[in-house]
Amino acid sequence: MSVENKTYRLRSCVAIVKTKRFVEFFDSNLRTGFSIELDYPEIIGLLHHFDGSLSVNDVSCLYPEISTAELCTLVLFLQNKSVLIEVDEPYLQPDINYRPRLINTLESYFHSTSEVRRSIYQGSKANILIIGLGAVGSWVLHCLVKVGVQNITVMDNDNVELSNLHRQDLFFEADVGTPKVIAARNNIKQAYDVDITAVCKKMESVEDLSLTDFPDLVINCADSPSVDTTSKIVSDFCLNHKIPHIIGGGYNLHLTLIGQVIIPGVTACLHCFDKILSPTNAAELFGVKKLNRKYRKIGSMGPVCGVSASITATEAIKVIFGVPIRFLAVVNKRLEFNLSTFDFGAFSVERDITCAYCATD
Amino acid sequence: MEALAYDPVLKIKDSVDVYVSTGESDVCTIQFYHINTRQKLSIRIAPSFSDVLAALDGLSPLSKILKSFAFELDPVELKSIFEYLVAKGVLEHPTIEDPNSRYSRQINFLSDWIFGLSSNKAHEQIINSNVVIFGVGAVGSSIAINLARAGVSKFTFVDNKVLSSQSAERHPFFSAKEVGEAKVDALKRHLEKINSAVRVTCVREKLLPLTDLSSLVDDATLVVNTADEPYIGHTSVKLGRYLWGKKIPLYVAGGFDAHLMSTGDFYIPGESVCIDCCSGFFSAALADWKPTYKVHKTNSAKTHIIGGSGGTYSMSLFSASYACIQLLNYLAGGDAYKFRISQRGEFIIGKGEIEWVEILAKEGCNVCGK
Ligand SMILES: [Zn+2]
Ligand SMILES: [Zn+2]
Repeated sequence: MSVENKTYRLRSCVAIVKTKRFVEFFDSNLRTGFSIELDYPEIIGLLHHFDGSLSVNDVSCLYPEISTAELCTLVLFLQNKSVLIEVDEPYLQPDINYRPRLINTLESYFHSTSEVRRSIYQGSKANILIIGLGAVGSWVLHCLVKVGVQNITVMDNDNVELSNLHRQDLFFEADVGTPKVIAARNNIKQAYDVDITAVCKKMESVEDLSLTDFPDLVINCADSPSVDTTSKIVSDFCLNHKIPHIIGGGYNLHLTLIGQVIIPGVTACLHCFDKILSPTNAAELFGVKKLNRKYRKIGSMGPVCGVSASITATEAIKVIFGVPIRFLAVVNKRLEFNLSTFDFGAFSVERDITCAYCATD
Repeated sequence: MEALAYDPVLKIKDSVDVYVSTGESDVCTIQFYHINTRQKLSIRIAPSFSDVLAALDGLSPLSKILKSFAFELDPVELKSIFEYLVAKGVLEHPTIEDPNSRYSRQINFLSDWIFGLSSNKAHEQIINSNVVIFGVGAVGSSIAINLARAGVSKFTFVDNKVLSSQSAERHPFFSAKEVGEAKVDALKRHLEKINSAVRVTCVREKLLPLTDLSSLVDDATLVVNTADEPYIGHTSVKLGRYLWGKKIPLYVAGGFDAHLMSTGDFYIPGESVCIDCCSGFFSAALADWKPTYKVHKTNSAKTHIIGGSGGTYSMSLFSASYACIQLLNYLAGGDAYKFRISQRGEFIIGKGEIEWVEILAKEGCNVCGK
């Protein structure tokens, strides 16, 4: 179909400001904007005619002073910038009723309603594996259930303990003593009528990850015996099968860290990071030994894990719903939350194109 | 060795990593690294001292530990170095406490984050807080849940809305069976499942210009506002003016439409700018920003505008968690929260960084006097 016959809608979340020479656009969902030089005084009125029912031709007829070709160029430009969205398929009524905010979130990343519909379908059906239901995993799981992801598998072998309740989501006093994966499954079923798959098992090797169909995304939130060990297992499995994965943060010894999203062959993998991180660590620790101590229990606080989990889940949602990679924020870098300045720092790592682990061969 | 006058029981804090350099024979550098705050402290000292450190078990008095060493250490020097390390928060006198008790990990965390106050006392201040929350939607309820998990034991919730099916998108206490029930009641039940010791007062009201605040907030340790109707700026001005006079802090949470992952504004009498300075600041800053939005009537139920505000639970969880880090630091008697007082941050979802705006007081303001 040619552009003049297509139908567009000006997205309500886009703020438009007209000054003498410029028109500014600001997407209030993403909080990003741009401006174009344009001195046509009727521009706002014109754009408001794109209401999802009139075609470009219909609008063109209302503005005879603008050529249809000129209008089409403007429309395509603003579609590309996600100011206008092409309305080529209606949204499903249940989606409009029950998840309008998800629709609106996704509209900032796509160019047509059919793309948004496909994205919602893809996300709902995606297979997600979360390893570890602790202070990060439990919050991340809840976040994914709430955007309508249906097929989630969780893997953990711990029971809910009273000392977990201050920092972990989804668990209540009545769950103390129950395996975490079972408590989470029951509580999610109760609240949302969604069935997640509970695997009461500790991940100890790559083989432990081959139990179901290959997932579309693996999120590592396990820190036992150590984050390095669990991340290595997840990385080995996922790089081998080209599965996107997230190295979560917020765990013991790395309470304020927000781990990176890894798209195999596209963004820096765990080994690309290690190559950069290890020399730094080695230089700092050269000729240094760590003091060994027997009695040690690390402190932790719920909302610090919550900040980490919220960013991890927000990134995961982009991956799950097929949002273009350029919109991902925590790729090729790790974030770290500073508890004294209440702000984030970033550690950036470029993908090493010679990396033996994530090479695209 | 004769009995020491200075004979404490000590341990290295759990949240501190200790590294010892091995390059030199008669001296070494010992580095203490606070893993939660990422702060470092180094001392240069005789290598035998690291063996003493490693032997500190938090159970035996120092004299007993020193007995197992073949060397002599100057007790005066030893005392000064241990006292220095205690003052720097690297060593502590352990409290007798079950390491698996409900809040042990949080108390542990506080010992590294709150200074000038014992971590048990800091935690007690959290427990004894009385928090009033206006608006228990996505962000307000998430703040309530986080604070309740941290141990806050007394709440008042003010909100007149009921749970709808659409609340499933962002309300963390949502339960399909409770659709149609008052949000304040459903949230109360949710908190009671988390902590049976919690006491919640539910007020099914909307904050209006004529609402009498005194009965609602006069006993509060702090007040949180997330009520965005009629408009969060208006409800906050009403609350902010009243609470300033009562010397009660107000936290206006972020995470609402167009500010889906923002930090909140903390109004503390004597410390921050006042509510009128803040709203004046933003009116002036946005004087030239007069945006138009097109509202389409595409949704027949009109429950939500298609193409309008987005947001997910993960995003409102960010604003709520950020708020709670600030609030818990304040409640526990810390001072880190002061770093961002009178600043508003917007977490940019596509960049992973916060953009900050410093909120300036009106010159000669006779309320906040900044
Ligand atoms: Zn690599
Ligand atoms: Zn003022």
